[in-house]
Amino acid sequence: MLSVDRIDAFYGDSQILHGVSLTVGEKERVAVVGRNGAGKSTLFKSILNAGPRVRGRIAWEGKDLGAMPTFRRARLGLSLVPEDRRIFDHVTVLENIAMARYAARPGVELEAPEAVLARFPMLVPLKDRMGGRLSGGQQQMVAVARAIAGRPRLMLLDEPTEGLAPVIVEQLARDVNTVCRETGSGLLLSEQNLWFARQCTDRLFLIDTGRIVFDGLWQDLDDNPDLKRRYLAL
Amino acid sequence: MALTDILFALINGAATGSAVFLVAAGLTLIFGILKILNFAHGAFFMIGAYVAYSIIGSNPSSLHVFIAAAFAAAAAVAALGFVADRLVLRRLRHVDEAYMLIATFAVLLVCTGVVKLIWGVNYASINPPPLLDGAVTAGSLFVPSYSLFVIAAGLFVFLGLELVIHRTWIGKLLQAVASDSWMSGVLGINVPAALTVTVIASFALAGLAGGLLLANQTLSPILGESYLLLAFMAVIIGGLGNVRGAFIASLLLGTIESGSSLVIPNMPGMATYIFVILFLLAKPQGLIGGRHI
Ligand SMILES: Nc1ncnc2c1ncn2[C@@H]1O[C@H](COP(=O)(O)OP(=O)(O)O)[C@@H](O)[C@H]1O
Ligand SMILES: [Mg+2]
Repeated sequence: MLSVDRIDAFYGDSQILHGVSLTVGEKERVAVVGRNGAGKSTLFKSILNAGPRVRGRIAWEGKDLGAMPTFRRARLGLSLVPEDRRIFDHVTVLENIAMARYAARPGVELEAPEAVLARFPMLVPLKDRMGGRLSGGQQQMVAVARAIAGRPRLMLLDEPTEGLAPVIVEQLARDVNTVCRETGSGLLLSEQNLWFARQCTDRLFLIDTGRIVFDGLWQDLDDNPDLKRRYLAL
Repeated sequence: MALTDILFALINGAATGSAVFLVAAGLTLIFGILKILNFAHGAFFMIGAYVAYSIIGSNPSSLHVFIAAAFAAAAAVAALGFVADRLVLRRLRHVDEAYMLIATFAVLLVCTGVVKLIWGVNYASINPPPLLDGAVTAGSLFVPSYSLFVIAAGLFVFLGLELVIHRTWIGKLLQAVASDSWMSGVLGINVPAALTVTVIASFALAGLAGGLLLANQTLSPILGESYLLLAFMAVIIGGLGNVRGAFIASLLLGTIESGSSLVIPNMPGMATYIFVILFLLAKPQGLIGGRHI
């Protein structure tokens, strides 16, 4: 479904990604793990053409996306939840979710924002709260709800657990799993929290200083304790 | 100084302030959403005035015709906005702000030149339409009806914008684009289209202002400059891009202009400049700072 083929990504003159390749199949759930500064966010933004300058091929359903602008990529079913969440503070939680309706693919019926909200028990009482008045955990939930509201085919979730309390992390893992299963969305998850990533995905890519240094199943990672030591400082 | 003098100065200030706001409205809208300081705004205001003048001549036959001509001017200038966006603004969205400033300045020069070619350099003066050519008197207080009309027009545009921006979905969308265009694009919102809509709305407001403020003016190719300076100051004091801020700032500036002409009549504009400088030293972020329009 998504195929990233040997891409380089740049901010100005500095090269951040070096020949990164990965693929995600339909309904697949895949993690990208790596330390701070490894290039996870840059990779996600490159896939959406939302920031870095990218060289190389990014294809969706076999078609090269070329220079297609961000909003059109979103309308293909690619839904990015950025690490800083970016909830709109001038509208309510429900209206934040309604903002995602423009990502709808032609011919795909969207759920009403209330129905999307109902998938996240924590958010139901916050429906009319302004976006600017949410805690970090609540913001993350709204960000995921908003991403799923456009019925994406692949959700790109960038370090969702950063700064969240452990109970919220557990709740989020349950919600992300349920929502992906029920809506049929695939998942590309960037994480440093290995517990969370393992809960939500079946296989992983390990990224370090802009290069993929390992890919395989979680079991394969466990069989290589040395990888964890070298690239995740565990 | 009698009470009527003060009352007169206040009403006069509100009228000047409303006129300034009518010009500042489009300026603040385009700044709030596109972060463009549009030097050409005054030129499009002037084109709006000329278009309305071409329709109604020097002696408008009725208030209806006068207002209809202002809306026709708004439509004509909105169309020019679409063209300017396609030819100039759209191409400069991803380059340094300085290029945009220079480009809008170039547009200003081109527009002034075109106005001279079409309408000549002669001055024209336009009377208010019947109903607005008189004055309202209360005791010794004497207020031109046209001033009251301008105050009403300013309020109308302000309330209309407030309503659209804060109460309608399109307004909430535009605010989303203004406060975080990156996230808006990530959510699938057609950001380039939203920016084009903003440019067209901003130009329409310039044209409308030109038509509404046409009477009691000397219409000439330098008309653009007269209000533009005050409008720029209102936008800056208002908090760069905030409509409510620009409205309050316009009324404040109008009142200072009018009050100072009562107190220090031989130094026009002086009090306003001093106020703007002191205000910015004390509160550089403006009346209502932040990312919202
Ligand atoms: N907007 C930017 N401009 C310049 N450099 C950036 C920018 N964003 C990230 N970087 C650099 O790119 C590298 C990778 O960052 P990032 O993709 O955010 O890593 P991660 O998400 O894995 O923590 C870092 O060295 C970071 O300093
Ligand atoms: Mg990151």
